[in-house]
Amino acid sequence: MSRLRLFKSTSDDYPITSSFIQSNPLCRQAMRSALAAALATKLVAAMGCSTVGGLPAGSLLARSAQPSQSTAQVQAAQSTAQRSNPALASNHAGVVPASYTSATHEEPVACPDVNYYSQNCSDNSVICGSDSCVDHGACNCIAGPSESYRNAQEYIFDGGDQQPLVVIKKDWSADGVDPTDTVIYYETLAGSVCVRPTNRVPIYAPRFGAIRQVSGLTLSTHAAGTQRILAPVRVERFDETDPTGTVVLPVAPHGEQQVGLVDAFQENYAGTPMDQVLPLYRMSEARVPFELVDPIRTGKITIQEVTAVKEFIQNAQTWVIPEALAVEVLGQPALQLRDTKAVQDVYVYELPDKCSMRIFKTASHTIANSGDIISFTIRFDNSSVKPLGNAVIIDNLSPRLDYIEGSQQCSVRVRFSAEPNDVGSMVLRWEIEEPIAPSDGGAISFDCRVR
Amino acid sequence: MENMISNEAERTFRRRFISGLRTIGLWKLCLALAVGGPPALLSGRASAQTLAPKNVHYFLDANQAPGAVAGAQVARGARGVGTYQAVSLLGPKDLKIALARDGQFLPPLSTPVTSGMLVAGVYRFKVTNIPFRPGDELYPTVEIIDRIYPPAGREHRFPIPVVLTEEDLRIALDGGLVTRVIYVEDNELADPVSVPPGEQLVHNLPASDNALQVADQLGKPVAILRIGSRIPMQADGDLTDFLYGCPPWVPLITVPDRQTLVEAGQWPDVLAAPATEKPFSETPDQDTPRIPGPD
Repeated sequence: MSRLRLFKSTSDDYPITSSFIQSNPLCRQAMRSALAAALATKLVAAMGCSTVGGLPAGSLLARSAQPSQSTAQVQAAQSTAQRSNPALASNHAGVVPASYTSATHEEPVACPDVNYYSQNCSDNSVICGSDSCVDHGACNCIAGPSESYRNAQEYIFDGGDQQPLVVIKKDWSADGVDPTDTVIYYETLAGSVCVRPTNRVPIYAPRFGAIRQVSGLTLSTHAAGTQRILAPVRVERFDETDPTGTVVLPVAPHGEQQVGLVDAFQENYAGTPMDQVLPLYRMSEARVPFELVDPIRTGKITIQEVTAVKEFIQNAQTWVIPEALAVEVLGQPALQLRDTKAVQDVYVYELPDKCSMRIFKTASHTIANSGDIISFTIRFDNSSVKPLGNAVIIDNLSPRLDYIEGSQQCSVRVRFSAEPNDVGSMVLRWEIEEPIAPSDGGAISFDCRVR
Repeated sequence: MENMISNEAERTFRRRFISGLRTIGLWKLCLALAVGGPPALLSGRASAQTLAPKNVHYFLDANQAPGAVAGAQVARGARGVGTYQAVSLLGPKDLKIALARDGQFLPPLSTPVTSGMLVAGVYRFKVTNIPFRPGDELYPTVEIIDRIYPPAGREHRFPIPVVLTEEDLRIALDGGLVTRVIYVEDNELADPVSVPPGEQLVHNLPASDNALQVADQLGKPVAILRIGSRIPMQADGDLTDFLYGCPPWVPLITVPDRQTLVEAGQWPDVLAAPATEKPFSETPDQDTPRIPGPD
């Protein structure tokens, strides 16, 4: 429902009805891709249905029904390259994976993989049967952009609750708070003890080390031989060994696993109603620009905010890539979204006495080098109808993060402590002094330096 | 929609689990936990511990000839083989480095020299203008054996640093061989020490040990640097064999770090303001923005 309202509310300049969208399958697909991209230009194109992803709409069906000549040539070249050099068979620049085959528009196919170096397409664009980047929806694919491979070793994680899970002792201390864990635990009026972890914040910050060896003729002159033999030595027993049974092939780099860069708001997007959460009246001034978004400032998560955040992300990507081109129309950026004001339905929920604390965590940067300073912000809200008390927030920092002394700030009265942890970093602990009233909450921010 | 499905599946699982408890009885569950519970409870920690290979005989060693490890990566079809990886060659001030193309060395460049090199390629480069030994030349090799996986569009911001120190250059000029296995640290096992920008954590290892194995246990080896005193037999002849086939590379721009950009005014200074003694204030409205203006 909210999706249709979004389109209706943005249709001031481009009138369109929801029935028209639902009745036209090409438009539906284009709408999904346009939503994912969150680009106003694509939205306009999709609503008009004259073009999708920069290509004529009529050509999409023909392209997906039969591979183009260029695709066949590329596939032939790829197979030739595979025969000539198997090492370069996969992931080489300019080669379309062989998984792309002919298909009709009625039966969606799997999307081809996107290689970092194969093309300069955006995140939602791929090479699909042509030499140029087209939108994912134009491929008639059933899946979104293919998930790129990521290595967990190269990320600094903060937040969440890793195994073993956090348990609360009788003396109101916590056990099982591993490095990178961030949890809040509290007590309800009925006496239940609840533990709620935050989302995991990944920060790409690989650090390189080196194992150094020095060898050479001048250094090997100190090799010492056997000085004396005290007793005659003879062979007692000779065991035959089968090399094929004892040799182990080279192993892969261990510790790799797939990680998903789940955005900060995804885990807390569903569940408790957000209509009750009131603005935070005692929030201090925003310390960094990313705290200006409404989920941090007021605790409200609306669909308009998600759209705005996507706009920020798109602008930031355009802004921070030195080689990228930015389009301006009469001095104004081409990517603009109208603010949407639509009447929202109001629902009233009767909630039982349960664990209803909402907490999430954000970071000021998603990539960092050694020496950079990263600001973390934790937002927590009591989304239940009863007060919650004795709340404690614990953040056990990663060994790559160095807490900057005196940088923490909280919007409510807390007792703060910072103690060293087992991995050479710090454990930050905030004990909230007063019970958290219903629809109330707070925010915590602190800074860390990447080691 | 997917969340709804997953939530529904989770609720279904919980319902079945609870109904199963009622069916089999609580005492049977306790018995099952007593028998098989502790290993299952410890599985999270145990799985993390078993990530490190144990009792594995390493076929590969950093002391092998250049290309041996990369060849093994090609043979087993390792992920990333054949793609370009950003590599930055660093060294002392005024050091010159010349890369090779088409069997010949190109004019030297000042360090740092950043380029995209093929994974599983062996690159030999020429080091000249050594500060303490002017006129001498060295021809180290760097063997790219793996790659890293930065976010899309940020590959050039995280090159593999290949550091040539004065001490290593001096040892090589005196006839020694310095081998550096460069690895990307496992951030969960990282040393809690601060590393200034441009520097690198270095662990010295005896020549009898396997540096590749140690690097594999600390993280993921990505490159092997060998600094020796070997020179080409014919400086003006065909150097293809000396250059290990002269694999292709892509020139890249060395990206300055964030602090340099901030100081140059090319990057917004988004560092947090220091925490104040008065953490409470009124909620700003439209007339009182949170971020003060330029004045």
